[in-house]
Amino acid sequence: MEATTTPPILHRPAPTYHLVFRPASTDTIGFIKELDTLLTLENYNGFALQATLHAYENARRYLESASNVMVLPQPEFTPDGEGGIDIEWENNGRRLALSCRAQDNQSDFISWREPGGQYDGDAASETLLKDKLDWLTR
Amino acid sequence: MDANPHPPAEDYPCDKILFRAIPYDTLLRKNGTPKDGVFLLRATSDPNGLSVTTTIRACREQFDRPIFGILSLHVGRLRDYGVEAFPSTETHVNIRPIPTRDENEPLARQIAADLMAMSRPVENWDAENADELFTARKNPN
Repeated sequence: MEATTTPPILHRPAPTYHLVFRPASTDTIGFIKELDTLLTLENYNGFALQATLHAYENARRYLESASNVMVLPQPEFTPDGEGGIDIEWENNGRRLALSCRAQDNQSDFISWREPGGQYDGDAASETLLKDKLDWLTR
Repeated sequence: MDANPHPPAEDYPCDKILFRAIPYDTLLRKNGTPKDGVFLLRATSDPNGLSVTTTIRACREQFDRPIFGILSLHVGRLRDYGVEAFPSTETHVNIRPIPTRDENEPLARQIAADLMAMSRPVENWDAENADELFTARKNPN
């Protein structure tokens, strides 16, 4: 009877709390570089312009998830002044905004508006962002 | 900035002008036009409503470091829109009711977009005599 031996552990799976970022498209890499700059902004005139890690990681996750299924239009990044990040798109008068809030007790939000219409919105999710990016570019 | 409430400024004439600062550069688009976000409430600067001033000088002096522009708002248009000016000092005013993003993000964005549409950029806002220049342009005679 052969003795069973435990194979040596050559690779430990990453803990579940690690964020896994997939390879991104060339366009997305450009966006991510722009997003990265928000991590090193100097706070100014009493406003928290430097993004929190929480806001940055969520923003990056949403953008990378959407870029896996579509070519993203160029977004505009704006610090919300409280450590969060606003990501906005406009196309043919349609507006779409993803608010990545600074703290984990705040809810990320997606808002949109038809030309001449009123803003509507809902809690952010990767699925909703993809739907609304599709609507924006249709 | 104040501990509200204060009574609304019923004595303000409808042609009175109020001023809102653009306090950091990323509130400007790459083409230099201001983003609607200028009119979103921020906890640090707008604890009692949208913070505006009655003079260009006071608008600049709210901040320790240079600002990136000033937008003007017409009190009459604000009243027509359904918001009111509540003075807290001689030169500082809060505009209410405007929700925070945590309270109602779509409405906060809508109001920010509407206020941006009704605002006008102030020319020569960084001049020493900016208020006098503004008044002279408003009342050319």
